[in-house]
Amino acid sequence: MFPLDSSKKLSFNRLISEGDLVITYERHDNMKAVKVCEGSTLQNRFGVFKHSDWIGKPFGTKVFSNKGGFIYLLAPTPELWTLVLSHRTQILYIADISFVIMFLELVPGCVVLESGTGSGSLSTSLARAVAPTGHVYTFDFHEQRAASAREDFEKTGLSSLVTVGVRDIQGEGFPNEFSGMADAVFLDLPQPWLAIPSVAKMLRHDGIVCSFSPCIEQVQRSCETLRSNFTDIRTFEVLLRTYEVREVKMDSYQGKEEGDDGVSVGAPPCKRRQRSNDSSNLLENQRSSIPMARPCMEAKGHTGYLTFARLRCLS
Amino acid sequence: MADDGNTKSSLVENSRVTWEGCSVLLDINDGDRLVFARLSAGATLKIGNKNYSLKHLINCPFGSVFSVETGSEGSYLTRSSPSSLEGKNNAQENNGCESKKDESLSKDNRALVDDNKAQTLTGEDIDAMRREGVTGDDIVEALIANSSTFENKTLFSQEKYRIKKQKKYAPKVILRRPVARSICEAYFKKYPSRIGFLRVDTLSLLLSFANISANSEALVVDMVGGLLTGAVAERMGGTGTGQVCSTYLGKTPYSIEIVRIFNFGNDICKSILKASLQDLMTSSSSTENGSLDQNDNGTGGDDSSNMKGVQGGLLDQNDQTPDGTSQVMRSCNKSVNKAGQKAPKEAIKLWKENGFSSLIVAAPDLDTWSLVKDLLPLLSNSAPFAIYHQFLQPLATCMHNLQLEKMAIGLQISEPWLREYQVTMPQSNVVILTDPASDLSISRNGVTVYPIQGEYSRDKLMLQRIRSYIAFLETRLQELSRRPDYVKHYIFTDSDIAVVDNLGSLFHDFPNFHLALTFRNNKDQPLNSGFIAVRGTVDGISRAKIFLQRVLEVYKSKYINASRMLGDQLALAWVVKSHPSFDTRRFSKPQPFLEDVGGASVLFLPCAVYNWTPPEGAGQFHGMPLDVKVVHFKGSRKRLMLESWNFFSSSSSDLSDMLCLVLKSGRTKYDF
Ligand SMILES: C[S@@+](CC[C@H](N)C(=O)[O-])C[C@H]1O[C@@H](n2cnc3c(N)ncnc32)[C@H](O)[C@@H]1O
Repeated sequence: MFPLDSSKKLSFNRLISEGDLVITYERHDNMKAVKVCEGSTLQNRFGVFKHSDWIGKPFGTKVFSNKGGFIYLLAPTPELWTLVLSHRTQILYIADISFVIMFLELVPGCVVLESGTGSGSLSTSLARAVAPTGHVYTFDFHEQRAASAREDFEKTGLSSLVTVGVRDIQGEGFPNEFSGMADAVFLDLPQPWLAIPSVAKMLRHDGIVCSFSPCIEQVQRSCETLRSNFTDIRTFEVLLRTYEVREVKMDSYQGKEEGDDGVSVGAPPCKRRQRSNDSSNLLENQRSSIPMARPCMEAKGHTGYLTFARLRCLS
Repeated sequence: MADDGNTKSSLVENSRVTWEGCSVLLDINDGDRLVFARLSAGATLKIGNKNYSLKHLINCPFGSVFSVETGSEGSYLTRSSPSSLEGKNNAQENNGCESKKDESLSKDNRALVDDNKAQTLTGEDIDAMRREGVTGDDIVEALIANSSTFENKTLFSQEKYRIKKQKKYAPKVILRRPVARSICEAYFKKYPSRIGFLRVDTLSLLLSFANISANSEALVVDMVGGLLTGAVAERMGGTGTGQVCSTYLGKTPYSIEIVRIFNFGNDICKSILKASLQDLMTSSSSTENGSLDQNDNGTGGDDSSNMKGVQGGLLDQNDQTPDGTSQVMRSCNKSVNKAGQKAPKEAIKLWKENGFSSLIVAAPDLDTWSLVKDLLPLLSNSAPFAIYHQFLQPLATCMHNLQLEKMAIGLQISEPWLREYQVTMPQSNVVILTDPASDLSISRNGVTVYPIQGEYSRDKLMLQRIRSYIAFLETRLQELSRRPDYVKHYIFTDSDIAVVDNLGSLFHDFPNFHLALTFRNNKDQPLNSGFIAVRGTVDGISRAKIFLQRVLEVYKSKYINASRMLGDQLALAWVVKSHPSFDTRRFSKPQPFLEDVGGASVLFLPCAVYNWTPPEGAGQFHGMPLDVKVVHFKGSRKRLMLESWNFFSSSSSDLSDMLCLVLKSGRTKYDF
């Protein structure tokens, strides 16, 4: 996932070996997490890939199937993991995740509490931020989800950094053993305001809480509750727009528009078309092609609001 | 709590309390000015025309708030106690707290200068007040009291005047931890060009996409003043083996002076290295060339000129305290000087052998594609990289070429979009006007019990209710005379009413009414008194008061013998109808309309929306039309309240305060 053990810090240079987690890349929108296992195969529309062919190759390698189709084998990162994990719940994506990590001011060594665990999409990035000396304690009241998340953290090699607990955080709050221990707390719960009094107890001085809610009504309610013990209450929405790049060929046009002094902006389009048909006015070598970007069609819309607050400074 | 003795809190960069020599971000007057400073006995901060020593900020927890106080040695910054803070922060949300504060204000009027000609205070007057220990807040009050123009100003400009004076005479300074987040935000706000317009959400994305973690070997091209290098180093935290290499074209490293603003301890400083791109690219035998670099000693050197711009009014602290430097400070400065040392040959050799595990480029001034083409071969297999540019085209070109040359996969151009929201609650406070004898103990946010002396016998109850409304409006007028800017709108309701939608919009949507009543198409009782809205301006409240006084008179003179639950409504209708120009036919259409009644501009709202009653005799609560904002459980329908409570809780999490309150009182039987 990321170099955890400092003895193999340059793990990117490590060769793929039995038991490694790799991300198989067909296309940017078609990836999969695969545990490498000597006798196993991966099958997709490009054919059958033998894991045994992968072992001993460096990460990033292009590997081929029996039919000559190919995929890439990538080293997993929390960003890639978020794209391939199995969705047991709604999950947070890169834009929200990166913003949360930044605004919670997480650094190695921090202790973070999280609820609910959901599919563990955020937890993975929390773990990266606090590794190797910090810890993430994440809670979900859904027993099966907690168990699946635990399995995932095992798979991604993060189980030493993340502990999953089963607990109703809205009802019972976080366990008292973490009182005054947490540098940061993250909530992705339907009624976060119910957990906020407990959050105030868990946080260290000047500690930060973040709550993610899809609806502004939830945000209002949370803000109202936060006001009694927290300051610097700020709410954000982060969106990500992606662009696709295409090489666009354009006829470049030279010469003057019928005697008037070169201003072609106002020229009616029909005239232009006539012009471009008239090849005598177009020099072949002025057909230029430029890579240009345009916004992708399937832009991701609203995910939720991120509300941050700092425990009020007492004493 | 602050010192739990775990290994982490011993690190400088994570300390939650300031120390001598510590770098801090000072937030003056709620983000008005952002000043980076280093705390020392001699450092000062200029606010207005006064210099304040920063020594009182040493050994204080981050997050502390300071205000100005005056003692024998002049004005100084002092930590505001949390309780007084709370009063200020909650002023808008909490009526109870507010009135207490007002009392103390009016009692202590040392600052008020008795001068009926309402002259402006002179600078000497203010200095004299300061010497006497008058607080900044009181000076502001005095300035307002002595401004001949204040009362004539509009409410809006009065508020502006108050804020302006507050900033000057009662400034607020918050002590903040300088971390990547706060440093980036501060620069983006004040000097965005120095960080290449790199916004904090973009910086976050770069760090994530590049998979920066404790043991990363990160390569950065930082032409954004060191913000990127610092942010990467902060993520690595000095606890692991990670290193960040800031590379540059040519012979002179790019300035990374922003790194100095972070409170990095030794370990982190040591993890920040510099190497020229040439040294990284050529074979190891030729690295000698690079040693000619003039600027090998890290960020310690020539950065003070740059720092000053950011600091704004701050005098340069270090130069001024040649001898006051403590041990901590010296060790800290020493370590800061180490940040950005030239990478040793062994490090370069290892990077060449193994490759960097991450790359981040923020080089607005270099050609993106040709730079990236040289950088990518320095990465290890499958290493993620992230490139920032303020403009789209260089990225499009770069991405296109990377694809053509098959140098990378999973390429994507993303543009983050950030919006900060001002979340305001539809702040409804519930005030229960009640008999002082009824001992309701209610503990719920925003709910206060307001006892009013009067006659609460059953036959006088409706009469008393109008009296209570009038008495309450009187107290609001008094409050407004003390705090003209404190405008809050009021809605009087019966206690068997549930507000199920935001009513605040009423006052925006219909900006011209003084009070609002609800009507229905009923010849004998067109008006219901269960809902009366009053605009919280002096004009609104005064006219509503006069209107209600008129209703009270009519009630007493004409309807005192009517059924005791109806008298007030009949009196209400009489007052409205008796107005010569009033056309009662307007009650037949459920459309809001505005009419002048006895000097008050009255808004008539249809009961169908603002005072809706469930059908009579319905044994169950079946919900309501979608546009209903207020439900009135009149008469026997009170039985339905518990049931509707459950209905509301199941259909939305957004429960109405009022409904919740009534049901919590536990009365399920009503004997009307
Ligand atoms: C939307 S998911 C969280 C997704 C997560 N942030 C991620 O990125 O994968 C919300 C989770 O909160 C859990 N949850 C809901 N109410 C809870 C409660 N009272 N206590 C603990 N967990 C709760 C749900 O079981 C669900 O798994």
